Amino acid sequence: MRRDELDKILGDLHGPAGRPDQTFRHDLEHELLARYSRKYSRRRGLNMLMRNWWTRPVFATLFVMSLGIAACTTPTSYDVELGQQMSIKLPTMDKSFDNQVGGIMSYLDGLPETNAVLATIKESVDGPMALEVAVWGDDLDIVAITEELRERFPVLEAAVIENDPMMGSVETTVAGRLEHALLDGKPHQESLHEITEEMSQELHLRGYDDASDFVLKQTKVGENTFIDLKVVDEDGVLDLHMEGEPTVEYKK
Amino acid sequence: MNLRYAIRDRRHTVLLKAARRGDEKAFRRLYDELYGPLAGYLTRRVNIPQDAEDLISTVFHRFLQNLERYDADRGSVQSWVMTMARHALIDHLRRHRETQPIENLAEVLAGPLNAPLDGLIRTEEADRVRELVRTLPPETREMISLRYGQGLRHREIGNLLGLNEAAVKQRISRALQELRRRANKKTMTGGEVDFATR
Repeated sequence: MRRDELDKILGDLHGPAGRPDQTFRHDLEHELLARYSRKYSRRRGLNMLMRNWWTRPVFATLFVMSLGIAACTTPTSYDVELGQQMSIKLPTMDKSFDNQVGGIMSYLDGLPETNAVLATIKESVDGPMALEVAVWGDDLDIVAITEELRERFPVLEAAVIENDPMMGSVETTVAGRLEHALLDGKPHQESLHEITEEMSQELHLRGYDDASDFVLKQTKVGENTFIDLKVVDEDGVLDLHMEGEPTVEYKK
Repeated sequence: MNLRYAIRDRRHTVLLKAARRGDEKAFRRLYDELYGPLAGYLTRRVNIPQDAEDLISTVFHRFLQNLERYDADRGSVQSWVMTMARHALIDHLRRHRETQPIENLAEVLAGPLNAPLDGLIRTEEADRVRELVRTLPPETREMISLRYGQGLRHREIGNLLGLNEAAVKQRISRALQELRRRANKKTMTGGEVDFATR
């Protein structure tokens, strides 16, 4: 008996036995979610709120990007990573692949780090098939994602999966000008100050007291802006951090 | 370590961190992923279904209560949950010792083995392995159960059982070698089987 055969048998001998009671499982889930909701009601959305701070600058950046790309790069431009472009190529035609694409998309779309997914299928009459997927998101661990895709979708076992980071170029001078226009001519620092004020008000509405419950800090170093929020409540300490020139964010 | 388990553990950590920030979707997904292993572990070791459900509920409520205390440096989310499950199981067995006599705590913790599925090509081979595993010391069986049933690392099993990683690795490795050696014997001989795993 080979080691892998023994491993397989031991896995079977210790695997799930019998079908769990689904009613109990669902009842417990509802009970836990209700408790979770009570426990984290104040915290819920704080992270999203942090991201939403950038809403106004984001619009500026998206617009600037299109101009930046059109105008080619200049010494003052800089790159931002928007996500990953995945190319999945099957060595031969496999009709079952069509049925798997939905599952692959759902899996990628369901990852916590993913903001949006866009896919295109390319196929020849009897030759190889290819799926091109653009995944927008923050800090995508593409190696782990690729491995898990192969685990979850056996049709990809022999597929060649290649990844390339998707980069966008932002031209800072134009960015500054447009941002200035979009924010009604207010200087950047003043606008960020206003956003910080809004955030502070939102925290007060959620029952946090700025004297002891939270610390909101905004700093700007060169082209980068940093906003840190530290919240202390009955559940402990929560640290949120945003940095960089207004983050490029794609909404689903 | 199996890559599947490594990816699972990383995903659990990401979900737990998101749940701490108030992401209900992440908490729900974590529950979905942890329910099967936890329920499997407890229902295999507790004969009364109602008691098993009470324990599953207790562990998940402790999990939620202590969400902020999880430390990724000390092990995976699943091993953390399994530690809570094992403690809850031991408490339960001790509490009910008078009404439901437990002959051997270590035997219960080691857990039962599934019967090989009929019709599989290797049923006979699996039967033989099953009988051989039963002759292992309970603590070694528990290690193998945690390794193959729950996908825990040697270090995590060591933390759970109060042993160091090297000792766990050595015990499991020796047991597997012995299982292979004996399973490969075409004719099984009778008599006492002695596994030198301690």
